[in-house]
Amino acid sequence: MSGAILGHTDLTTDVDWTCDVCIVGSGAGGAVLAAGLAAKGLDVIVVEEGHHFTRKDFTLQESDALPAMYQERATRASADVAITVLQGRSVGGSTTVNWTTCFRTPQRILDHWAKVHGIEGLDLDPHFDAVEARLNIQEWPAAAANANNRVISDGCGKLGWEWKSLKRNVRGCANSGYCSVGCPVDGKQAMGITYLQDAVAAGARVLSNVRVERFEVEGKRVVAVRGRVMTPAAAEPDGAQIVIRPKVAVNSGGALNGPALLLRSGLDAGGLVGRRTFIHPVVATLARYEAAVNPFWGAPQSIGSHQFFDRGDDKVGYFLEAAPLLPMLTAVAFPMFGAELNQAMGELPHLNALLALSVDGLLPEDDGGTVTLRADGRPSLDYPIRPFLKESFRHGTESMLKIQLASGCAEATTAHVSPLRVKSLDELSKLDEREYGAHRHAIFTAHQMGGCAMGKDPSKSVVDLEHRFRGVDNLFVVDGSVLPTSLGVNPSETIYGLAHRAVELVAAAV
Amino acid sequence: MALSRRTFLGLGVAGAAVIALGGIGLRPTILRAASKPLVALDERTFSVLAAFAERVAPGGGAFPVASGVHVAEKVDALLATCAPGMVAELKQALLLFDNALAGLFLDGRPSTFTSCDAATQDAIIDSWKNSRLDLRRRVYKGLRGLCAGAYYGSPEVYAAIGYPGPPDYRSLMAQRDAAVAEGAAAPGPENDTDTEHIEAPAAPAGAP
Ligand SMILES: Cc1cc2nc3c(=O)[nH]c(=O)nc-3n(C[C@H](O)[C@H](O)[C@H](O)COP(=O)(O)OP(=O)(O)OC[C@H]3O[C@@H](n4cnc5c(N)ncnc54)[C@H](O)[C@@H]3O)c2cc1C
Ligand code: SF4
Repeated sequence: MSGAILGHTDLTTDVDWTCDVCIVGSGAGGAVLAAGLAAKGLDVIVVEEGHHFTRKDFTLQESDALPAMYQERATRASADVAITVLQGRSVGGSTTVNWTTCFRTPQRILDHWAKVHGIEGLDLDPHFDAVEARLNIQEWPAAAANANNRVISDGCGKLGWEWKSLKRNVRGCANSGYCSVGCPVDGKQAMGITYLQDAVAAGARVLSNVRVERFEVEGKRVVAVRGRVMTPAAAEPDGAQIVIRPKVAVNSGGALNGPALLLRSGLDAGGLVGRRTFIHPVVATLARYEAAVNPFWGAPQSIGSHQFFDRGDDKVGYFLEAAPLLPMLTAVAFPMFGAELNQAMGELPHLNALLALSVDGLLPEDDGGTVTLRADGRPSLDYPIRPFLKESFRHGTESMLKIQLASGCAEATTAHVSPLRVKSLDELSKLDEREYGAHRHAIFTAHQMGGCAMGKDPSKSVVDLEHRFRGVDNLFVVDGSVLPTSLGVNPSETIYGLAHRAVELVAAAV
Repeated sequence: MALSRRTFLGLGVAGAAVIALGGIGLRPTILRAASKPLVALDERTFSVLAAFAERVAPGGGAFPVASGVHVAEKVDALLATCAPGMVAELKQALLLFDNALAGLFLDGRPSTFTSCDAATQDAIIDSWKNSRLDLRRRVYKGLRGLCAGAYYGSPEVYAAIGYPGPPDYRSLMAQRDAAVAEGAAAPGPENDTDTEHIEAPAAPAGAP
């Protein structure tokens, strides 16, 4: 069988195919796994709901890219609409639009998983070595960092706080700044131009524009993966029926969608599927500088700080990064309207944005959010903002304002519904007058994790240490949904590494 | 199977009843004509959205007014590609927002949002934005996000905010592709960390 990426124009009639392994989802997890399995000579079919875009398709206009390449046309949010959920939907998954920041899983997290979730002996280093070589993951030179990111090194330097240059999966990056709308020069080593190409070269078939509706289970086996073709602008599946009968099925649909697919298939693992969903909830602050920052240009993230990653056993830690500011997402992030919004947006070239990403899932009482199904089968994320997160939001907001003030901004503001504006450190006490939590300020997530937690204890985990879904012999889960907690670093490299390790485990089941 | 019955707005039966009764005896929705045929909204919900968009982006100075860049039509087109369940909830939200009866009960205002003057409309939006009721904050957030996104995603607005728009990487790549076709080395690992080819975004003097 020769490999290919097929789409809605190829898949015009119903199909019923067999194969060794059928992987649902072509993102960070699915792509790395597909390449490894295909290289072993296995017959692999990857099914992806999103469209296959190449650099020639990228107009770099958010109005084109966001609806085309993000889940729910970039309108996805938590059930109470308080949290904006950015998640990718195309061949390559979220990697097509992610910001390329790469970290290995921190030792502190691996130790926590061993101690609390029984994930012992997880040696990801050889797998990280392999994916770092394939994706050219290297430190981005500080000299090439844009002014938006230099706020972190400048501010942290003045405050005596830790900061460092970040690693990125890029090769021949033009430092454009357009990672979130598709890399125009194929500099980003996204899955669509790396592992998925390897998979196709080794014979894998990638079916794009196909939404998998459910796994068909008989006894303890998945007997079919059932989906339907969806033309790119369609609201709902509108084309041919796709039936794949694999020896082994893999759910790589990512957090939120992956658990939803299991729930639609009647697989809830005793009520655990969808639970413990983590999102690195993000709060932001903005600062205005006299000089131009041009936050829309330059590698989106190149400098970060883990000064507050570990705040002790009773507090939620967070890490700090910059955010690129393209107009549409910036406008969505601001809470105001009318002339006030025009004025704020009018300062765009002079703005810097910082993000504090809270490390959820580590406190014993923090079980994150829950994914359930809406009446129409879409995932619904219920993510309550509990007091320990509010405290982290408050602390993170203060740290970001300090960095911005230390780096010489003219004014820094919170993302509250009525923003707090500060020009000096002594105004920071006003932060106590503000409320933190849902609908009090903007909250985002671009890092969805969990919902199919890996663990040793069958009564607490959805998949075992080998990624096998408990109770179904030939079903595996290989994506960000298996993470039992959040990571405290951007998740892509952890998922690439886990998927690389999973190749042998899944192959052994064929 | 755990089926959540919660909707985007959590309006429930009472909210739906208020919407159903909303028009009786009170001032109706003031209708607006769309500049092209509607594909997801109906005339009434479109009119509420267009009126709301006009207050999110009222124009002024270099800023065009929302209708000048067809914000409500753009949102309508986007909604035609979204799940019908989500569109239904959004329509409900628009009707609730405009609703005169709810306005009468909660704010002592017996008129629809669309029938108020601009200053009153701004005050209404402001009250939803800061409302004690999470439901109102949700509606504000959802509607504002759609309108602000569609407006600032319009290239016609870029000049007003000093965004030069994306550089022309397509021509650059066409040149590179042509060079590679003629035998030049494709960009490879050897120049990965070499920053010479990287056009570092201008670091203005005094910038952070
Ligand atoms: C804007 C943005 C910026 C980010 N920046 C970074 C960053 O700088 N560094 C970093 O480490 N991480 C970043 N991330 C997060 C990172 O990209 C993700 O965590 C990672 O890609 C998740 O991998 P995954 O395999 O779990 O899912 P994904 O990569 O999201 O892939 C899942 C795929 O499955 C498909 N799918 C789901 N359900 C179905 C179904 N039923 N049928 C068919 N297909 C289905 C989806 O369409 C999707 O394409 C960012 C994410 C976003 C959205
Ligand atoms: S910053 Fe680099 S990797 Fe990102 S889109 Fe631009 S050229 Fe591509």
